[in-house]
Amino acid sequence: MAVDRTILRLLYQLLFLSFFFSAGTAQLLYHKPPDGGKVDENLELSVMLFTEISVSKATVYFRERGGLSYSEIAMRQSTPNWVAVVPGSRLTEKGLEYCIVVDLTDGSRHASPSNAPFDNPHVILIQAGEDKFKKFNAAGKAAAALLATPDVLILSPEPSELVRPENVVIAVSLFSAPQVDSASIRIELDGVDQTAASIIESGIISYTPASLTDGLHTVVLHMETTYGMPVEPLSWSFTVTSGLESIVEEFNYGGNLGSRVSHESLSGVTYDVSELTGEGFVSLPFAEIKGSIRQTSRESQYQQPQNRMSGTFKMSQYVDLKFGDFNPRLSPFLIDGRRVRGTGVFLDLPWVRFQYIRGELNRSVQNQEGVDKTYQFLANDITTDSTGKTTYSLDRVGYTFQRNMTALRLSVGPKYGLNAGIHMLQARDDINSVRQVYGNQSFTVDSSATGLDAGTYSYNGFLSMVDAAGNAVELKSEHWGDDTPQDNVVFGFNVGSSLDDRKLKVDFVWNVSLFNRDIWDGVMTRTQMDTSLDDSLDGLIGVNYDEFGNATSGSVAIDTNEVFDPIPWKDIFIMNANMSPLVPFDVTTIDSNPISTIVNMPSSAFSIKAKGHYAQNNFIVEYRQIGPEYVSLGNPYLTNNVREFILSNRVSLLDYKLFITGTYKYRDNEILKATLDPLNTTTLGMNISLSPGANSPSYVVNFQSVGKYNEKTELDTVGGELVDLREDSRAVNTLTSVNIPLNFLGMTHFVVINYNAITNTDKLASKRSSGYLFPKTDTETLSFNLSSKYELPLRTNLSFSNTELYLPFTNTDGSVTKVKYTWTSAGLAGQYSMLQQKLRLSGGLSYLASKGLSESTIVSVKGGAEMDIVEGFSAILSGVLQLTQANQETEINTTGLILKLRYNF
Amino acid sequence: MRNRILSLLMLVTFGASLSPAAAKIAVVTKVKGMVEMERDKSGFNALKPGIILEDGDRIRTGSNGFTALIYIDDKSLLKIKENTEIVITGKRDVNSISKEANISQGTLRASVGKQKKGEFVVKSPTSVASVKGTVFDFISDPNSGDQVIGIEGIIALTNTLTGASIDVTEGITGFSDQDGSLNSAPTDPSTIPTYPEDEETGGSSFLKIILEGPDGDEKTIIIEYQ
Repeated sequence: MAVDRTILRLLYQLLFLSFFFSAGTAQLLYHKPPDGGKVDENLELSVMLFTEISVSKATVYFRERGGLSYSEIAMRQSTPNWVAVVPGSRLTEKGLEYCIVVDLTDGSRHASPSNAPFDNPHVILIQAGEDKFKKFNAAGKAAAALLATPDVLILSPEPSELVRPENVVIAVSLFSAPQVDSASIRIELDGVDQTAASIIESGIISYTPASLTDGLHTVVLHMETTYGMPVEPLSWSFTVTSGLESIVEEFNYGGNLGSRVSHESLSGVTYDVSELTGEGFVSLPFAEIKGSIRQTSRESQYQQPQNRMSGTFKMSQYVDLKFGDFNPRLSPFLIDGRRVRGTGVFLDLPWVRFQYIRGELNRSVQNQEGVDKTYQFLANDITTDSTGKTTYSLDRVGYTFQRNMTALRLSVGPKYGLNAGIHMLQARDDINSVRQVYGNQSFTVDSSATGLDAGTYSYNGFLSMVDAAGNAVELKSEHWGDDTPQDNVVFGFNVGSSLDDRKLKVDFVWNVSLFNRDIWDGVMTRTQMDTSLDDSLDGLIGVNYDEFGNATSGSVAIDTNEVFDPIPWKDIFIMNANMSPLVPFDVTTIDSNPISTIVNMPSSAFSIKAKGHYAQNNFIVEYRQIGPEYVSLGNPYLTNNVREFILSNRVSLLDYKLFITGTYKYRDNEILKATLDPLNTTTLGMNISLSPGANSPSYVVNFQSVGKYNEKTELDTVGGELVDLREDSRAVNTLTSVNIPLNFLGMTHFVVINYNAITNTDKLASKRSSGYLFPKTDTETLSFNLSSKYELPLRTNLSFSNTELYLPFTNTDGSVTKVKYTWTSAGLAGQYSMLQQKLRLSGGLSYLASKGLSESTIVSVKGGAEMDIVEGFSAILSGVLQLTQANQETEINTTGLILKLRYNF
Repeated sequence: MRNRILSLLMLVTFGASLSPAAAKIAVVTKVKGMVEMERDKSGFNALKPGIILEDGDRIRTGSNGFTALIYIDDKSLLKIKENTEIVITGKRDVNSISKEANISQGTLRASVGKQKKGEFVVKSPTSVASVKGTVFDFISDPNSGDQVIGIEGIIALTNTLTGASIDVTEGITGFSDQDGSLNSAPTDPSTIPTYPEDEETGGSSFLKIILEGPDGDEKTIIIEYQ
């Protein structure tokens, strides 16, 4: 064995010496670079080692010539060499760079090239290989005979390209391959079918994968011809690499800090406000953290928060976490932009979209500032018992309960295919968030209170005084005087799909709500139900008994054991007699008209919408209905008791320079059959917009006609008098706007001329009594605005507007006339930059005069300066003075001084 | 009467729709920072990688924005830098797309493949740059004028005010100003815009390497080198 080793050592030394110069190897490695390679042909690399020490690892690092990062292939032993094969798909005509690194078991490392192998890699030339499109002809002779070579363009990524994870967009163009049937296309990434998540339209295939791991990835595109002949799949690979250096380079941050101090006086009331604002972000290619804060002196314990603090963490486009104050939008039927203070999770994955929000809609407010704003003395609730002890009652007012909300939405399915989801929202006021006793606040006692002197008492002082007199005070522990605590649950589902190559999108969403307007008494038990309609605790609801103990005729007689037990559900929703709906649908019609009854549930809301894009048309057809008892505390401003049908279409003509939009909308409040005199509103609209292009005038004409009809035919009697509540009217709104850019004498001007008129017509005018007041105001407005930019660093804005209002007015003799009010305004403002635009001066003068039953004039002067003090840091000082003249008197109405500092980093 | 108006409305709005849908002409391949797109004047929405662009789409980038798009007929590439607003248009025919990019402000780089039909045109309020196949940067400043920096090939630069035209070649920058002046000078290398991808290929002292074993397991090593 020792001899063998000696021979081997000598052999290695000889080999080493003989190859050292010719092959340029160093130390213990011999490697001869191949003469070249071809695209799509595997390339073998080998290395011979001249050492007795075992190899722990041998690796080839390779990249496209000039590439950013290397890929690695482990070498395998193929005596006497170590070899590795670079896939032909990774070879490009740019060439190949590589190096070989060998780790030995003694801890030493050897490389070829030996000197800075990663900086000075071997380079070999790669020749063009067989045209990849020829592969398409390999599906068989028959197919090849039928198929012209499909001119498929791989747009992105290029074969063998190194791509960062966030930049992976797989795109293929069939622009020059019309013989390929788009409907047959199937795209795979790493063996997984991604067709559903891809955009395939007009001969373009685009797929943006979710976060890909570093490494080699392979795309395979399956296609057929329009004749149904299969085509050999197109396949190519690319490499995803994060690259630490890119992270360092693309690390980004920025933000700004600002402060604002103002002293303003408006109609004698002074407002001093100071604010501190800040925003900041830190971003990497795959993640971003944002934060913002606003601290203002307007923050008050007596109202909802004015301060804001929010944070956002985004991970690529898939994960979005929000903290603090944010304005989530799940659905108009749930929550649609209302501020929430809490946490939000938004996941946007190719097949799953999930939104979760938890936070408070209202924070608790304990009281209001002032007397009788925390406690109120109940003069009508004074009792005296048989011992002569008097008990006085106090109510609790001025509070707002903390309103907590949880909402979620889960949608499953491809974004552009059939998808469905569920959603829910729960909001509940926290009764315990407001304290029964809150400080030593004061309240008044009037002279009607027996045994008490009228006056203002502090809470503690009142308790002491009453106690000293041997009497008692009872502060209400529940059912306080202001808002009642509420509870709300909304849930529903949605189904939608994109059809016809995404030209048509259809969505249906349905919701139902449960709302409890007073949860002071908590959930209703079965025992309470038993006595809710009758006084007998007999296990039956709604059974009345006669004097002999027999149930009277007409009793409902519902066994309490058979009714729904609300107690297990109290954590989700508190059910009691204050909830609506008490019964979700009309039990009297469910048997005869079940579908209509379900659809028209008073606490349901739904919409079905089709949105299409065909030729140059963009149309929307939608029907939506919101029941009269539908409530979402997440969107308390949602108008209920309406049903609407909307049809609109916008046509783009003249190469998207002319747009014509037509709209028809019908709306009424006749969801319930029992609705008396429903109000029907019909809106017809037409908008024509012409924008020939840059530096050309543009024109807009908008016409809208709104008709209202409440189906009343008779006059009503109110308080013994006949009142005309009939409505059959039409309001016509016409807007014309012309925008004219002008250039002359080195100046750039932009002229805007608007004319707007609203005319109301009472269609029942001939049938009204002479003293009837038709309460609609006609208006007519003409405005002109000229913005100018001069060769000097000067910009000016000149404006003029005249509005005439015709207000109906009942004279003392009962006759009706229209009084004309005229508002005329004019203004001139300008900004001048100096000191190389580091100092910007601005000023303006405005005038507003009103004429009508009374006359007044307002003149405002404002001015300011903005200075860039150092890079990123600027200061703005501005002031305003407003004079009002009325009844021959002139006074200063408003003054203001504002200082802002801002630093951008 | 109401029905008549409705009928008229529908007739006008639907009947006037005889022209074809907007042509799909390009694909967005990269988006960084704030980049938004407006289609049919329906308001700006965030632009995302993979979106297929249509004739008339308007793109704008924020102060940290960058996007790249590739035309589907010949892989002509537009890289759009920050604070840029551009409308891409393209008329499809059977063999090619006649491409035009209307830039109102900002900076872009066009890497134009050989055009089968017509020229690739970049327009601003001040200038028109048209090429058959080349690479150039177009910097448009609405307050001053435009710069066209030739990287490869020949660019015909025309000042729209005067109609004067010059050729801009590699290493030359053409200046087209709002006052009608049009001239050229050797390019100051420091004025050549850099793009995120250029920066990505710049020198760095780290390498991250993905290790893939025969069994498919992957490991990562980071190499620091000079």
